[in-house]
Amino acid sequence: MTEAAQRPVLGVIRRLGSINGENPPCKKAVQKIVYLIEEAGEDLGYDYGIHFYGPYSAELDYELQDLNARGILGIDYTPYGHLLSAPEASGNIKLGKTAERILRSYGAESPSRLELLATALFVERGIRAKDKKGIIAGVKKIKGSKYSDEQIENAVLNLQQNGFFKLEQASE
Amino acid sequence: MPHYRDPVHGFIEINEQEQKIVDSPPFQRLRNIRQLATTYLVYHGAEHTRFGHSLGVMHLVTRTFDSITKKIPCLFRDDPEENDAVVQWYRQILRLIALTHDLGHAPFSHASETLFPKGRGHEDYTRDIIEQTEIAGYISEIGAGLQKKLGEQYKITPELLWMIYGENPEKHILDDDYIMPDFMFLRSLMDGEMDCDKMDYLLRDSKFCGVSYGKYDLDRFISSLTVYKDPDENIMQLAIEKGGLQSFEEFVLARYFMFIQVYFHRTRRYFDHLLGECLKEILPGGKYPEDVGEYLKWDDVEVLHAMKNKKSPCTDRYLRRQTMTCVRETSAHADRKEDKIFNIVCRAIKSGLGTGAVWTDKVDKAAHKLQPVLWEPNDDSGREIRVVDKHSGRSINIMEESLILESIAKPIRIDRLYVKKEDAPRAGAIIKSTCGE
Repeated sequence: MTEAAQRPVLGVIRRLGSINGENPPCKKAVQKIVYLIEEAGEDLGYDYGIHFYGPYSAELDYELQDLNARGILGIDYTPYGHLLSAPEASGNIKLGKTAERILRSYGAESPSRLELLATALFVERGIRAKDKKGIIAGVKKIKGSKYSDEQIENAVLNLQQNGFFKLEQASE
Repeated sequence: MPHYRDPVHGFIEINEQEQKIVDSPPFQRLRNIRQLATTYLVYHGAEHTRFGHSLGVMHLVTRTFDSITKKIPCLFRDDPEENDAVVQWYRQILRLIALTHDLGHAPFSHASETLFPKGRGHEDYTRDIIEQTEIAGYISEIGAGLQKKLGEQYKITPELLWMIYGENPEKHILDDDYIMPDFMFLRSLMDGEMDCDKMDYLLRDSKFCGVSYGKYDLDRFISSLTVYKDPDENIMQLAIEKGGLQSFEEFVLARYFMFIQVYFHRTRRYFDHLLGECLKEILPGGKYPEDVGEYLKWDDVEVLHAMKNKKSPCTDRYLRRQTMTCVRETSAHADRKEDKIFNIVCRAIKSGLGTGAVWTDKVDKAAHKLQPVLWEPNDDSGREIRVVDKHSGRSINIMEESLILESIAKPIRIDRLYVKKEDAPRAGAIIKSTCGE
């Protein structure tokens, strides 16, 4: 395989596809999964910023475009998302234990849920007082009324259970 | 009110407080920072500077913001009086961001950016300049005047400007002072696919290079800009009215052609590289100083003066405009096959002439980063361009409306191989026998 064809993100895309019954994942899902992998401690080499739809890496986006331009990655522009198809050989790309764990835990989540999880994690990383109330307020600041308090609380609990962070005792 | 007679935009007005910023030494330094690096060695008219460009961007961001806010009443707040105050506040913020956005540029602009100290870019110097020089005081003065007029909450400080426009807005998005989605929207007027920075430099660069590639219908383009709002997603995005689609197509094509013909010109790319090598010789420690006061002493004049005094083979080559010959280049959107052939040719030439006799250059850029995105859900970047039908309010992604733009969605990727002029005939022979041409 050429160097470009061995990029770890192709391995992530291939895994996501097989987790979801060989359905190619959408770009949003890939962006958020890669963010979770990096925040869990495995550096895939992408810097993340924040945009309207949560944590986003322009570098990753550009790499996907570049891989597509080189004929390695397929991008299918459908009304339901930009669906990404990595070559079968990408299944042999070795990912770290952390990436594999994150893919097992989150690979079947919907893009919308991944957006919420990633945004909640982004907020937790950014706020000083690490409590549930602060994370909810932060997610609402970024996403407005898209997610209910209950949905955000659920996402926070999930992230805690998967070891992303521990919260201080909330001051109600 | 002071004004400037600009070759691209005609009269540019500025208020007396903003004039203090223009009169300051850090801003006056921009008169000696060429906009297009070493392009003047290819297109001799390309002597224009960041000074005119900064004024031009300020002018355009004002025109654009005024056009949008006139078109959409109560864009930011439901109460008309409050909205009016916010509009005045944001207008002044944008003017200051535009005026100061390039203050930190190195001599010859982007050509010398590899020589910044580790972890720093020109944006960091811009931040230092607006926060640490006399410009900080002038910004705060303007802010104080606005607070007096509109109310305490309408403050403007260098820190606020940086919060909106700086390199890492995600560091500030959770701050109490950061207003979502307004500040993201303001930023997009200066940093996005339709930003005022691009609007100015395309026209300016085109005019001064003497080419037509960068021209587009500015008036129509500005008048077509509108805002897409999605309260459910907390989004406020710059968008294009359907009737103005062709003006945007023209704008994107202009940028595409300018990249191919001017910014990525083969000779310019070589001289940018040569300039970088010269700067390594003349800068203390081969890097620009970290201290902003010392950094501000460097401009194009200082660099050329230091090169004349250095008298090395490298500086000599630059000052005498001695080029290398580009003997091989891929097409503007090189695919895998072309890449492979290029690499084979490269190896053959290096083997025949010696590795040291060859220089290779690789450029890649998405001329635009339009995402063919969808109504719902989208591709997640938030960078997609929406086309809005002003009668129905329906929005779709621009790539669905424009066949022209869809066809130039591929990133620009050009690989080039250069040899010394005297080696060009031998290189040509090697290429011929390698490729069997």
